[in-house]
Amino acid sequence: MLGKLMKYEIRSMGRIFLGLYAAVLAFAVVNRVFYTLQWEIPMVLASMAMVLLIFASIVTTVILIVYRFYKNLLSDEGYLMFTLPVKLDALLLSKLFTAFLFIFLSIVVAAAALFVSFGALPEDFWQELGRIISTFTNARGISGGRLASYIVAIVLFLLLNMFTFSLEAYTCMAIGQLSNRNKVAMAFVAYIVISMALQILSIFVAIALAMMGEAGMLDWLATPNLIYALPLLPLVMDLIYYFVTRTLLKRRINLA
Amino acid sequence: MQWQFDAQTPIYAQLVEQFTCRVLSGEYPPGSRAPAVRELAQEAQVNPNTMQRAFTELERQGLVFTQRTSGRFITEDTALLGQLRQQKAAEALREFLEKMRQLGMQREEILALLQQQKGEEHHGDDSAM
Amino acid sequence: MATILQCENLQKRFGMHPALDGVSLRLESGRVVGLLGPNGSGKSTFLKLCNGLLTPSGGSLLIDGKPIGVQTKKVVSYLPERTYLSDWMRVRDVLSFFQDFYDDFDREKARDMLARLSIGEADRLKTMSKGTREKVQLILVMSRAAKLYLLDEPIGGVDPAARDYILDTILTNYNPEATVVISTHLIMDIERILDDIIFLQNGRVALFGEADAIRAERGQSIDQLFREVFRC
Repeated sequence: MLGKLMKYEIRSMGRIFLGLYAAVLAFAVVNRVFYTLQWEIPMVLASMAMVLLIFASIVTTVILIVYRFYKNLLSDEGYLMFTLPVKLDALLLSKLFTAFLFIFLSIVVAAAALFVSFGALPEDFWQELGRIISTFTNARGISGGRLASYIVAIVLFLLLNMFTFSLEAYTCMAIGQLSNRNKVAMAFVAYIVISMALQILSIFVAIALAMMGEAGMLDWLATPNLIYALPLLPLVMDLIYYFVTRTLLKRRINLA
Repeated sequence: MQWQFDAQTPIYAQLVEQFTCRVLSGEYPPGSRAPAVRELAQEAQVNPNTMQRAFTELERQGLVFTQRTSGRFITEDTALLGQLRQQKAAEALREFLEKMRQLGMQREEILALLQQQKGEEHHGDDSAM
Repeated sequence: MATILQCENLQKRFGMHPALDGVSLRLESGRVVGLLGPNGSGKSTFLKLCNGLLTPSGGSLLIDGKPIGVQTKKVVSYLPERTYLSDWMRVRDVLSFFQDFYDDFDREKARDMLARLSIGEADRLKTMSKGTREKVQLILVMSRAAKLYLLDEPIGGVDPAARDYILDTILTNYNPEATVVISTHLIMDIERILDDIIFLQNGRVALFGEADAIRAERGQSIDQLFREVFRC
């Protein structure tokens, strides 16, 4: 069921992205041509267009993820989706995984576009990067296997963060639909409240860190296994958001 | 004959009535197979349950009978049919007379009207020949 | 005859307002039931509860002996009062959608009905008139071999010829194992196909009985009775 739901999700959202991605990559190729031919002005214009398109695709991804959830589950189409003989989890996860897919694709397309336009980065760049990484790892006595698991932790952290945006939006909309007359307004209010709460929380954390003093803070940051705790942050947030969304839609669903 | 209903009396009873008329008029000849409940319900645009109930009543009255393996048939009981015909005719006549009375027609006037009508029909027959 | 729907003291409040105020019903299979009442009487709320689009504030509701969930959704076919299909889809996409998610969906039957109405499979929902879209939805709903069909105002806002078509479709698809609940306030057109009648007033059952029995008892049509009971 999840697979079937995702099929329709991807088709629905993909229709819009396909055009956008194609445009971005088209401009990247054009840019490359101009770069090779050293036509300065067209190159500048094409680059600008491409950067705008990349920006547009990111903005579109964000807007579409929110819009799709709202339109498909919380407006008239919800009458169809919620009467399907599928579990609520399947409905939510299909949206979440598709959102993740398109965020991921947007980033990949953007990177590819930049890579194609401006060609391979110079040798020295990679050397510099390698040197910085080895300085860091040597200073901390990390090597081989440890480095690999560090990278895994960081990658996990980044991936989990890619879910957080969607889940936060879903939670706000799930709260918003509780209202009988002002679903959208309520969702915004929820968003503001949650953002403020997270801000306040991070201020507390910052103060706590500051109180350790500079040396204390650096020591703490250097704790060997701290890096493994890094993915826990978005993981916990993601789980909380998912749980709240799911519970609200299961027990307090309120379709117009 | 079209199926007509007024929604103020039980529909199944009206179905019985109209079905009976169709039998008497020869639309469903005696001994022939009765149409299927679903088909008839669709034709009359009523609920199959209601039509089923009508048939149950028709069977009770003896107008249709079911042969276990072959299905439902219109009765061949000419005596019963004759009786029903008389009954319905008497009803129709009563209604007619009542209506005439309401219009203020006297007995002689009614008879004269009937004769005139009969004459017209004969005339029609003649010209058809 | 099996009991397809059973609810006991079902309640639903929206804030302070009680939309359903203690509804107890028992519906048998193989019946065509009219859920009748003026606007705001709780008809749509009741149907939404049966579909899991709302959760009750109190009381119990069982469909096919089970609480509302994935299992009941498999046997309930719902036609809401609104367009619930994605308008970017074509007719054949919608057919595939239903086929994907409903095991009891009969694609051939749907195609037949659509063809008879000259609705092409490549037609986009976006380009259809409202009336045509509603017919498409009706066809989809009736092409499922469900145990309980819930139709919310299927003939409202539709021309008389379309109404005939809709009533005809409901009758042709009648199945003694299934029950059809039709919620409407246009009683005159529909009363001849109803087995049972529910009058809903202010979130409560004001009347529940067999249509012909009511006619015999009152010497009135259901439409006339409705006007009497719900006189303003």
